Amino acid sequence: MDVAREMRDQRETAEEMFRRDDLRTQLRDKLVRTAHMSGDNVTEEEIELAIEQFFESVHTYQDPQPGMKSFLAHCWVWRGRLTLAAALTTVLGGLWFMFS
Amino acid sequence: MTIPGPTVHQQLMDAIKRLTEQLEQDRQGMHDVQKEYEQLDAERDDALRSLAEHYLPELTADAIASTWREVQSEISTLLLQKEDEDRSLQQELKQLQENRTVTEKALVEATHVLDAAILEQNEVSTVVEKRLQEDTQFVELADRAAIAEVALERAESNLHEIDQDAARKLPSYQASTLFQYLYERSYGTEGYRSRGLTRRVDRWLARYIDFTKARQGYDFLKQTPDQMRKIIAEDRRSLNTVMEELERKRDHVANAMGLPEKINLTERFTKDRQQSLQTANFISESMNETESRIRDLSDPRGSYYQQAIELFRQTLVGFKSSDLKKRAEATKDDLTDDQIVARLSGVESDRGDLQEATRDRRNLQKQKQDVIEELGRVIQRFRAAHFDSVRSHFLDTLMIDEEISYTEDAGDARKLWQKIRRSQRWGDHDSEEDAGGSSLKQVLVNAMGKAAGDERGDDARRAGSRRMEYDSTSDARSAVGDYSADSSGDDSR
Repeated sequence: MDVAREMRDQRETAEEMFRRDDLRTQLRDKLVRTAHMSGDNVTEEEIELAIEQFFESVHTYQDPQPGMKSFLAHCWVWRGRLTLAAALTTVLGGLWFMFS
Repeated sequence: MTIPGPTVHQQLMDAIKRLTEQLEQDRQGMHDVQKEYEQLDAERDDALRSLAEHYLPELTADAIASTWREVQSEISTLLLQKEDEDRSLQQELKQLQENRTVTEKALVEATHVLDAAILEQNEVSTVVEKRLQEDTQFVELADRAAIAEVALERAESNLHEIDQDAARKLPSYQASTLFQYLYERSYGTEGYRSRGLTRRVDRWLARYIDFTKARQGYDFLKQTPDQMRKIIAEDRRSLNTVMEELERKRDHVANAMGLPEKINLTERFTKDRQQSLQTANFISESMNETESRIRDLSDPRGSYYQQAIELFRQTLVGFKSSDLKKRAEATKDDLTDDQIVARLSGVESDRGDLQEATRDRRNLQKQKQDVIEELGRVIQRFRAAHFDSVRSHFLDTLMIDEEISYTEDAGDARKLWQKIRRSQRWGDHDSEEDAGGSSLKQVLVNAMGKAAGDERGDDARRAGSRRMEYDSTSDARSAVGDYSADSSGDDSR
């Protein structure tokens, strides 16, 4: 049932996308209406630019800014490799200590 | 004041280098001579051609009768060949004209037949279209097909936009280590199995990067374009079904009205007309070629005339200038041939001069080569006798550059070695002792020099050196060659 629902959802999303140009038109009308109501004097080019920026920003991804949290997050993700590196360093250090 | 041995050695080396460069330049200059030869040959050919043209101004029976007897028979044969070809081409042209008339007539007929067939086909087509327009089911299907086509075009345009979106935005998801870590562990789905601390820290990480929203965006960009493609393919199939139904209805009406037969007939007539057109074009091109060839034959200075002149020129090549001159002088009223023969004589005279100059130049090069080789041997002897050593000195009367400038042949170069030997002096006692390799002999040289006094000291030293050199160079004789051995022998005597 879940698979069927998933497929239906996907199809609906895809069909929505076929109306992407409609969405663009609706968005333009809404922006023009809002601008009239607020008394803003915006040009066609400015509205087009705003719509373009909206579509550009939808479904984008950006990693968080670098900082302590980001560092800790990366350490967590690479914990396996870090543990292995620490173990290797300890073993090599021990061997050097014993035989030097 | 003396000149050090290394300086004289360097002067000899410079001289041989300079002479080699001069010889090389001279050899390169021989290429220009070759060009001059080619130019003179071309001028000679040109003069002979002019003479041939003068004696045979055109290819006609009268001109052949009044030209040289030696070439009359061969040129008459050429004239006969030309007349034969002319006759044959005239016949060919006549045949082609007849063919053209027939083909053009066939082409006009084919065009009329084709026009009539097209007209008839159009009439039937109009009737078929009218019948189909009256069929309500057909009209409904056509509307549906039109709407579906518009929807498909719109869908394809949107798909293209989504595809571009995905190509632009997906790389940032794929490059993110944090996002890929959670995505590969299936976080947020039933496939996620971690428990305890790992689960808690993963939850913190998911909140930190807003994984739920990012995953939705990623899935959307990954799956939506494929899904859209599938839907478009389904819609296209549906449209094809409608189109097949429309075609079935059209075929039914068209068959009933006999339209396919009309179309086949039109195609056949079009092909026939095309063929007639190609034949007419081919005949027209053949006629142009034949007419052009006939024009060339009718020109008294055409291609056959050129062949005749070439034949005449080859005959003239076998004659000496003096014979040509006699022949030209025999035609007293005509001065042109005398002028051409004079030009020819001038060219041949120039060629003779050039040959002589080239021979002299080659001899000079040979002499130079001999001088260079001899100078090389002088340098070998110079080195073998250790004259290039810092202990060796030469009288300032020895001027190598001047001597080289007077050197004209190998004999002069051999004499140079004698002059060098006579001018050579060794340095002080100690160094001579080191250099000699035989202290007792060096003592003899020095003692002889001092004993003979100022006036004859040099001669005495030279005599001692000659003796010493004979001993020390005897081993090196094989290295410096026969000449060196001969000279050493002379010196020792």
